[in-house]
Amino acid sequence: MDFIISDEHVVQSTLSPGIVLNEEVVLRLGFSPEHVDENGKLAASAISKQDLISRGWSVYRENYLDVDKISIDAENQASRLPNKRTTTLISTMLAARIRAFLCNKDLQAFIVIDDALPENLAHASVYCIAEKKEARRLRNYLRDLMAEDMRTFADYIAMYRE
Amino acid sequence: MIETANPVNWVLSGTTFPANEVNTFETRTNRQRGFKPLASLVTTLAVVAAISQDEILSYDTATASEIPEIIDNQVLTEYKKVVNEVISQIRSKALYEDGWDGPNSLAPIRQAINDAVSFARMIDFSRIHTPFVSLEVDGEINFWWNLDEKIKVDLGFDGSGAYSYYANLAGIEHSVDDVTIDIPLSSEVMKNLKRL
Repeated sequence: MDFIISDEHVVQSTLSPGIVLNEEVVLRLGFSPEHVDENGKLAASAISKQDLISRGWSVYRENYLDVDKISIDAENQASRLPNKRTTTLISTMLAARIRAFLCNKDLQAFIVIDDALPENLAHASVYCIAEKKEARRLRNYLRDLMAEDMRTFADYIAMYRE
Repeated sequence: MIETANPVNWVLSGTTFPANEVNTFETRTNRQRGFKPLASLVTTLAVVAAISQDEILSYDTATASEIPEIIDNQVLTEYKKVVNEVISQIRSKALYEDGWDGPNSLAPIRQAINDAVSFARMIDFSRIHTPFVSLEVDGEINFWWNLDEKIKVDLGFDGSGAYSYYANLAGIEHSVDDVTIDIPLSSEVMKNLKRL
């Protein structure tokens, strides 16, 4: 899907609670040991280039989070590879920081759009709008951001409910 | 193919590897032993004493077939063990089927696995850190190195007979696309991935 920067300033779904604001926190699930190396560090492959380029890299908007929904999603995703997804992780990222990364042309590399789904109104997607050949480098920036504030899903939910 | 005197199967992490997995590095030493078993000890000690550590480490980007025949058995054993572990991890990805991570997720392309194995065999893992091996939803086999968040290398095999990588070497970035699989990783990257 081809998006341009202006798309994130326009509501993308009739179900959307509104465009994703810079000050919003978005969440992304990950799994250990699938996405975590032997030193406990998040691997770049946790972020699919294909998702960034064409399918959208799914995130949850914390402001509109349905805890039951994300818990079910986490269980479903973990059940696909039970041996590789023994622990569910979650990262929190500020939308503004995702949008701050630049491509080789010094233009915004990622957009965050509000593509709410019927079953998940908090759904948003990150797309890489730079040239495809930059996707590997750019996903490493996103990987660093994702790794900055990553914890177990159980810890996050406990904190969220406090 | 260089023949070993007594072909054996290697069993590591529950996976059996055929004798032809044994690398050139190992078989050269076997051949050397076969031709001059006693002379080799004296000769090897003399040669090792004459070669500085720096000179030995300068081979860190060499392929297995280029490794000098002075490496001792302990290093050989470690090399075999580590390279076979990496190959085992790569081959384990072949078990994934289309849809392994939901719709549109692809099983690895057979050639991507073969390319990754060929590439792994070119690296002297007795001196280079081993990568974290993973499969991506587009079927790419990925090698990931992360040394204390200072040295990071993200290298992928898409089954085209080539590899691409992004490296962040203490803040200096390198992005390289479509390098033919028989060309080793750049010496700059290899130097940064060296075990201390």
